[in-house]
Amino acid sequence: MSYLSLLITSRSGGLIFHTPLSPNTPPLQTNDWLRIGSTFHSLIAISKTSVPKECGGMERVVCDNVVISILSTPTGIKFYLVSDSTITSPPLNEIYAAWSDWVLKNPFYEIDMPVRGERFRREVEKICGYSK
Amino acid sequence: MSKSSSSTRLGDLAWSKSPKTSSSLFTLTYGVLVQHLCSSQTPSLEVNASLRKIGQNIGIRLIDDYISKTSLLSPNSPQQCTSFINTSEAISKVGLKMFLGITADVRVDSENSYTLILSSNPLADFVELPSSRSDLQYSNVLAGCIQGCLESVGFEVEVTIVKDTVWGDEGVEVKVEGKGRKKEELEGGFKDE
Repeated sequence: MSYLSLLITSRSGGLIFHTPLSPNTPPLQTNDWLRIGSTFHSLIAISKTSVPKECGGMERVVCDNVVISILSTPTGIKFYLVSDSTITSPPLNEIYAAWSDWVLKNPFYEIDMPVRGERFRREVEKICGYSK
Repeated sequence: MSKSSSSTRLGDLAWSKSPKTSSSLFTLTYGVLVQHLCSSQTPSLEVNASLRKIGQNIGIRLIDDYISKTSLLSPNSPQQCTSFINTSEAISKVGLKMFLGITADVRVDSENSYTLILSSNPLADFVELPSSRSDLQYSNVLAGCIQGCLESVGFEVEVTIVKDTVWGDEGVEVKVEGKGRKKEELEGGFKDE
């Protein structure tokens, strides 16, 4: 059972954080990660409006061996956790709580800007049980 | 009624889990901040505006803390505010408890406004306003904070401190008026006609 990577997009859809969570994560260029992040943001927006009822948007993308679990927060930040399909309860709320502690409470972090600090990354690695 | 007591329970639980600090340290730190803004003869109107801005910036960050911690504590019943009036319960029973250790009573004034009634003011334990600063809204950071939180989740609001212990009142009253919802991204898909 393992996690592959975590992506976070801002309210406006830009990628503000990504980290590999396994040695098996494909090595992509930062530009590719940016593209994937904003694509997912748009897909969720489309999924919300393409149903007749009110809906929170896409929550899971299931493939043969990979699952992408998504948390859309009421403030517009979105977390995407890529894992293999054995993961049934992804720790997205734990990661969101770590985000509120280690990113938002840092007075030098500017809202909606990319995350530069290492504390949050370490916290995510701890939650997902990944040690380099 | 049952919803109200579940909010109280959630508030108590959140308070028991959150890290604590000495209330004197908190009150004095806030006092120094206000005093610093008041030095160099800045007019009270400007100080009031700065305090509100500081509060808003705090609120924008704390709202995610509130949502993430409460959904961790009650994963099966997400506390979602579906209407504007619902937010009064979330703020008075959970939010204030979680961050300040107090709860407030709510008086619903109309469909679009309510007043939070706090029996004491944790920001102003030792404060006596000098007569030259009688127009200072000492607790404006609280109003700004509530405003920042609600605006981050799409509620346009106007928040004002109506009564405050520093003005000689019995407690603090914070009036929250709803001004509608913010438009969401990509709105205008399928709509019921």
